[in-house]
Amino acid sequence: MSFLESSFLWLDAVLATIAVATVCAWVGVYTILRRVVFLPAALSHISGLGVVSAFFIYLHLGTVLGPLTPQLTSTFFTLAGAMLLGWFPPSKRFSKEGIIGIAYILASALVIVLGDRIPEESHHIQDILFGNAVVVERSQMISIVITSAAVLILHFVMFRAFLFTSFDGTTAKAHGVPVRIIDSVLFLSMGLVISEATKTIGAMPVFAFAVLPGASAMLLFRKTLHVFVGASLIASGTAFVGYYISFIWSLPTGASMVVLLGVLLGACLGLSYLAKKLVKQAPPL
Amino acid sequence: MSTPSQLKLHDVSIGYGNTAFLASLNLELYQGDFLGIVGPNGAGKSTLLRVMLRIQKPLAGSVWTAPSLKIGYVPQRSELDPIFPLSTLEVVNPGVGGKKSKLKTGALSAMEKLGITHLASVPFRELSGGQQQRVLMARALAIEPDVLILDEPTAGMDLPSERSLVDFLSDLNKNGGLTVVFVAHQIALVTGTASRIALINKERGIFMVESARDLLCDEKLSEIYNFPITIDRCDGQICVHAGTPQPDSKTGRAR
Repeated sequence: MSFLESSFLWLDAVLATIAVATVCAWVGVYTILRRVVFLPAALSHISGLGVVSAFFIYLHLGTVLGPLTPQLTSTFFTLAGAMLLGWFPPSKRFSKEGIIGIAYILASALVIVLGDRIPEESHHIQDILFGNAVVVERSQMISIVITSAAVLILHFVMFRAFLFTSFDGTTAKAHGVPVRIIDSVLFLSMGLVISEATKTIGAMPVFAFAVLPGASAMLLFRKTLHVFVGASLIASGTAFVGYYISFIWSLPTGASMVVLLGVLLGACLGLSYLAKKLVKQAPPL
Repeated sequence: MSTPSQLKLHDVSIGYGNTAFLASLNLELYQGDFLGIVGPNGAGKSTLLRVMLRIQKPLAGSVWTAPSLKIGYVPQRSELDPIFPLSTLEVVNPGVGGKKSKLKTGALSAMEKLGITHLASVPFRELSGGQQQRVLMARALAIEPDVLILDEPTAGMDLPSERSLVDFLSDLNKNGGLTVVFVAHQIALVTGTASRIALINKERGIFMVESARDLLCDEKLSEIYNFPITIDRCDGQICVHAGTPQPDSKTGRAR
């Protein structure tokens, strides 16, 4: 059966992955600009901690937290994590990246420790924790497409505000811009995207889509909007091509996409180097 | 009729955490003032500025600003991360903090005033230090402020650029009636321009605000900098000497 003939197998998964890739790359540019590239990785693991905590609490406290599904707790944990990590002021002793690193490793360890106490649910947890890009249910695909579209519209509307507070929050505050509110919206939207995306395609591709397309676009483009749009296009294109490659060569889907993003980043580095050399060698006008 | 007050610090203590490094500061800013805030590196100038801008709360005391007072702020260039691919126009007109059409008109007019219209599409990070400074000034002027506050705007500039910036500010102040607060660690920058000078040194617990004429004396400056400083007035010019100047063998004046 050819790739196109088997579209009923992969269409939902590919659409969901493209949606996740596009929105992750867009919000990911802010993590590069604000120099907090490990934030998506930490949030993915905090999202996982939310899932495990829900199972742990449900199993040990019975029905007390029954209505709180693992998906809801994971979203709540990620949003809280995004706000805390986003707001944590850098100090002389710890850089912001240091704090994010600590959150990442603690969340990862807690997932393992709590997960060890609920072995009977382990495969169920694995499904939610590391949702995979191979099989995505129709309802999940629709949910992630709607979430991604909503976040992209929000980012489009607040584009200039997010940029101003990211570039020069002090002046923005001095000029009367509500920096705290704008930053909160930015971090909450990041948390929402990372949480939903992790549950759909897994932590590793989400981290890769949040960082690598943005880095490639920063090398290729000089204008702000071009960087954001370029990152999203690189990500969505890679999502499709990566899925195709994994299908025809029977490779792990998420990892194939990440490797492809890495190859593209390498190519962008080469192109950027060549462009600089050519500009230097060009005779003055 | 007295000049209206625009900003008032009343018994303010400034510092970090719970530790105040300067207490009971009183300062009033009047319309049309040109206030130079001067002190050595690490004197607490930027902290005082943050309190005046109301982006940092004082540890004690109160900060009052006139209703609907608009403050334009020019930060230190070194605080801005060159990773951002913003164009000059995007920096001058961030598109938030007012009506879009008004912001755009203000930005274009400020860019014209500062002679940087031709740089509109050039990435901000690719500009020279002096050009970047003019872009940041244009951004502050674009909001049509009542008060312009500048944090060490001449850092890293060559002498002619430094002079032209100070002259531009002096013109805005004298002819445009704009209130200017200029932070510098070199007193020579503000001696001829500022109507009042605030000397600050947190290490020595000093904060004094006086007219430029009263403050510019050897004893006060030497005390604030903890280093011998001599003021020499000749031909209507004020010269600030670090150390004890040697007299010129021909004229007898300080060199």
